[in-house]
Amino acid sequence: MKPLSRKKRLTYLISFTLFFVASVPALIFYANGYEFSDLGLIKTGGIYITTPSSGTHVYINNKFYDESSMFQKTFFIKNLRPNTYTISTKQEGHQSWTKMIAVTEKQVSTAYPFMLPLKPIHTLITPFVDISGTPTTTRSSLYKTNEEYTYALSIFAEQIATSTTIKILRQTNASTTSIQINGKFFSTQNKVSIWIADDKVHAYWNGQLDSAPSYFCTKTICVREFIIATELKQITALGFLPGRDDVILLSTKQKIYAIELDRRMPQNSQLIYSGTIVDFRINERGNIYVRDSKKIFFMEI
Amino acid sequence: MDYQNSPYFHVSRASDLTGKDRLVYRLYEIIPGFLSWGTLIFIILMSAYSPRSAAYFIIAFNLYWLLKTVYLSIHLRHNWRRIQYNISLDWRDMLKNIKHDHLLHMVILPYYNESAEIVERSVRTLLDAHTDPKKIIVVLAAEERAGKKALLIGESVIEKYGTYFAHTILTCHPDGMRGEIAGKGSNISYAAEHARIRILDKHNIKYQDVVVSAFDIDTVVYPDYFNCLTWHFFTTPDPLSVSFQPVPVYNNNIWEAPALSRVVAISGTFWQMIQQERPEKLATFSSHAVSFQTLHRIGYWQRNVVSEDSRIFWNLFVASNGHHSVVPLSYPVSMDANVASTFTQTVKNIYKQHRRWGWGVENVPYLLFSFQKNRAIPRLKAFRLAFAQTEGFWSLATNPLIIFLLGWLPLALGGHEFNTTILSYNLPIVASSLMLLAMVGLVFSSIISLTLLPKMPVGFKKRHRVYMVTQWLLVPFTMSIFSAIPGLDAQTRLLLGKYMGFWVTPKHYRNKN
Repeated sequence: MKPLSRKKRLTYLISFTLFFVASVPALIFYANGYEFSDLGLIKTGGIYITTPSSGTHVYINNKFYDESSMFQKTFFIKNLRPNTYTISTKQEGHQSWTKMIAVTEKQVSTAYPFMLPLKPIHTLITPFVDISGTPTTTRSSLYKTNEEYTYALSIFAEQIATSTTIKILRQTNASTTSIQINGKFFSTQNKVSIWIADDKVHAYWNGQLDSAPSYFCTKTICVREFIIATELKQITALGFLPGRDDVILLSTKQKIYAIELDRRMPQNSQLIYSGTIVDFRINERGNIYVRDSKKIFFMEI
Repeated sequence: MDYQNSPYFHVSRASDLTGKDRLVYRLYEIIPGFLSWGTLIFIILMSAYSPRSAAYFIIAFNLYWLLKTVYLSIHLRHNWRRIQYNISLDWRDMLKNIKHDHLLHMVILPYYNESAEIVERSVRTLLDAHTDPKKIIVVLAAEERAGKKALLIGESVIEKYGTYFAHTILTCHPDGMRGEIAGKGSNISYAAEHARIRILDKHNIKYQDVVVSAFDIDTVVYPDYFNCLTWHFFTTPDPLSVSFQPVPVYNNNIWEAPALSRVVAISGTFWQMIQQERPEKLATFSSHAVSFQTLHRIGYWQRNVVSEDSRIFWNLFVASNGHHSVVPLSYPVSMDANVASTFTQTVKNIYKQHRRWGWGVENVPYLLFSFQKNRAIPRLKAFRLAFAQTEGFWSLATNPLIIFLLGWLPLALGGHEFNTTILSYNLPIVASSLMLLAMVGLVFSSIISLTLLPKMPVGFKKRHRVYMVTQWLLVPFTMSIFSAIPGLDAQTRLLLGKYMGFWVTPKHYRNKN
């Protein structure tokens, strides 16, 4: 039995080479978002959605697209013609989220929905516990002070800073510059800083401007600072939603809201607590403590 | 030009030369490593400074890889069918009408510190071949530096089996001979010369009537190896201008070897099978055969190089002004897969063995230099071979790394602007889709590997057969860690002038009671 003939090998080689030469441009066009349509070759864009949990239903222009699962929580929707699309996410027992996202050619717009529970669980932290450790509000010789209550009191007692210095990275080089900010409830997460000044909520990007999150940018222009548009007044507390640098928690006298920093319309805000005289704090471990009048709760979102 | 008598013929490294020649040879030594590192660094820089171009390159490269895989699979499949066919042939019947009784086979078995069991096995299995052992000359080539024990082993084996063969001798290669490096090449050259004096000349045996099979000590012949070799010898137009290359399979201990070792070993077999279908690109590797007269004409294997198995081909090629080639036998010889006493040691040994094989890159400067000096070699042939060899080593060291590791670099280094483009999102999808298609070929590989396996030994469970299939999932890992990186390691050493010595692959033989 003879080896493969040279002629046959050459035929294969030439065929594969021709296929390669023809396919590479086609692949590159495809990867760049080009698509064939009735109008000829058109440039498309995409939307990349990161859902917070499995079981989230994703809709595009009110049409069901897909549902996230344990193995797939992100969706890359490609071959979208330049236009504005309404992306909605829904999940049973959770508040829904909607955003209008503009798609431009050869670019991918991102979306990070947040959907908090319709009824977040909040657990009362009692001042005392009995000998078995069961919480109680009654003092007696058989009971002792609840350490968690003591801890929660202490974090509410912490001074609220009215001015601070934050460090930023200059855009053109890697040197660090410090700037003085006057305000309160300073909080920084992943180089995003927020604070309240003159009853307005400010968001500030600490890093290189060309790597700013998308919500600091509109089309190709990125800004270092913007004011979060909200009609809420008399803000009593501010902080980042644990685990997110694009959603803040904000309390007025009687309510606590989660509001996203993403300024694309609509800017989603979700009510998570309603009470009498409301305040909250978030500790370094991401635990949320809510004070309503004299009661303190541990909130799970 | 009588190139074999030139001072360049047995050059092993730049320092063997002087003046401008030394400079030129050194430059040639730098080329393979420069190309490999240059490629990898270029991709890294391109990913950082022009991520779009890097993305295009990676897409094109992945497609190239897919098509190359398919193209080589065609070769693999054809050779697999040829091997199956050749194994099934009755070679004795094939030789019926060919006058071949005058042909003798000289089997040179070099050994160092291998156990008596391994040495004896190699000799004993020669008796199982379908060839009259009285047509076989056995040369056991011991090393002086292995000590008296090695000699005793050789003597004991000869005492036990020597009378079965035409002639049997034991040689002892002296240690520290000038102009040599410790290794197989110097040992078997010494042995061949002694065989010439003590057997061929003594018994008036013509050199052209002897075919030398240079084996490793763990080489076990398949039953019709010598018949197949004899047939090819007499049907080749000019048997004194060719070398003969069997297909190395690593079946001696394949069932006992860990999965990593098996995949690496069988992958090596596959590569040789592919090369057997491209004989114009084939150089000798590991166990090979060549006429004694041809060997003697050029002074046997080069004594000062590590990769003597491939260097002998290049010596013969340049000595004959480009008129020496390799005849692929498409018939297997079996050797040991890499197995050590512990898994960690096995991993280390596999790496070192592949680095030694990767050191075959030392032939690239040799052939570039020889092609430059020996103008009698046809230019187009020289260019083609130089390109094929250089490209081969470049592919070995870079392709798996580009495919499996560097494909994601534009995303990591491309910056925010690139990462918002649809190209950055599509790149991993396109690249992984092409890779997945290429990996489909693994299914085919696993089927072929099953057919090449020896019978499962008693005591092994059925699940071991399943492992023989699932082991192919290790390929992305083995290609990078045990192929590309050792290859790059070897090329880097050559680039920096840190020449490697010979490393003997330890043979670990489990007692199969």
